[in-house]
Amino acid sequence: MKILYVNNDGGGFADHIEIQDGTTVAQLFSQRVTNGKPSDYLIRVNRQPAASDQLLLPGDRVTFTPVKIEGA
Amino acid sequence: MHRFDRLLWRLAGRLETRLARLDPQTIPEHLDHSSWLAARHLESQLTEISARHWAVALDYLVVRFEFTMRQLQRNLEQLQLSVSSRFSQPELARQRQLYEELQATFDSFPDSTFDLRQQTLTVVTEPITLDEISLGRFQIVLNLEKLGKKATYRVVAESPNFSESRRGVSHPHVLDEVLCEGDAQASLACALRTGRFSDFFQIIVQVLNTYNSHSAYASLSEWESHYTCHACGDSVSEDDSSYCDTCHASTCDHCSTCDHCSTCCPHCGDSACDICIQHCEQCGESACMACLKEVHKACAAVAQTV
Repeated sequence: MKILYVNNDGGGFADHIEIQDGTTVAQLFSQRVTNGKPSDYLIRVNRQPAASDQLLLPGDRVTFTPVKIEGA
Repeated sequence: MHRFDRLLWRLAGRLETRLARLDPQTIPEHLDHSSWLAARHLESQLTEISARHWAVALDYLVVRFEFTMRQLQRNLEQLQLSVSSRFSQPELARQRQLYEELQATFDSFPDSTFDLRQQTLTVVTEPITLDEISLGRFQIVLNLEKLGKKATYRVVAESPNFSESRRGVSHPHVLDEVLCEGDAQASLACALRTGRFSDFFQIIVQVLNTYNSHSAYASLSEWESHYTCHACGDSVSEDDSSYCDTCHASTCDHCSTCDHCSTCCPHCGDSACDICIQHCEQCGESACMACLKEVHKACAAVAQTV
């Protein structure tokens, strides 16, 4: 199924991706964010806070935003 | 369920038009050489300051060097994005999507407002406290007419608690209402280009809530104290300090002069500290870092005619 995946870390990424049916928020995070912990990110589904075991649905918008982003 | 907001819908429509007109290649296509030149310049300054045994200035320059190297790294990332974006243009946001995006922004930041006539969207943060220093709430004012250009937004302190050690600093990473985006630069540009305004403001809020002590305009440890000379580290009162227009640092009177120059750049007249006044290797003329490029050009031109 297709979802909109947004990662506001580093250079930023926002595009539709294909994921398997039954993927949870936690599973998507571990697949896409290889060097990070969920506690270091604001995780939103359709712009709302989401539980780690929440099942993703077609058309969902999933956003990962780092909690700590360093200015200069 | 939100009540339909006709004015917000009109704003979304204007944004759709404006975003569609954005040049998809607004990020630089070529490598910005200024970061590389700045790094080389800082390297020579490090050598000079090290020879003078100015430990505090050395620490300061090391931090600036690390910051410059990170900027160089970001420039390379931007160039990579630019090359990639030629082949995969982002999907244009439609009016309905932008309308929902704006609604989401107001849901996340309840005190936010928009002004259709001024073409501004203003988000107000929660009060920000870093290392027990209360900085208050900030307004992030996005100028929608400037999308795709520089200085798209300002960060304005509602009840400023300015740093005592550096003028115009209302937050460790905000100078004169301009946020130094640091690690957020690329993701902010990406969010704006694709009309993800709620993400855009959220990223800025995260930056405002993060203190990077290694690269701040003013450190929180000196926020409510006298100035510290950025060259020698001595504590100095405001009356006995000089302000460098180049690096926005304060120096004591001793460090604002050197054997070869006055307190001002002889070319542009800006005040400059010993760290920022440099000498041309060919003619020995002194100048601030900005004017030194012109001095080098003039020397090169003379060398060619000889």
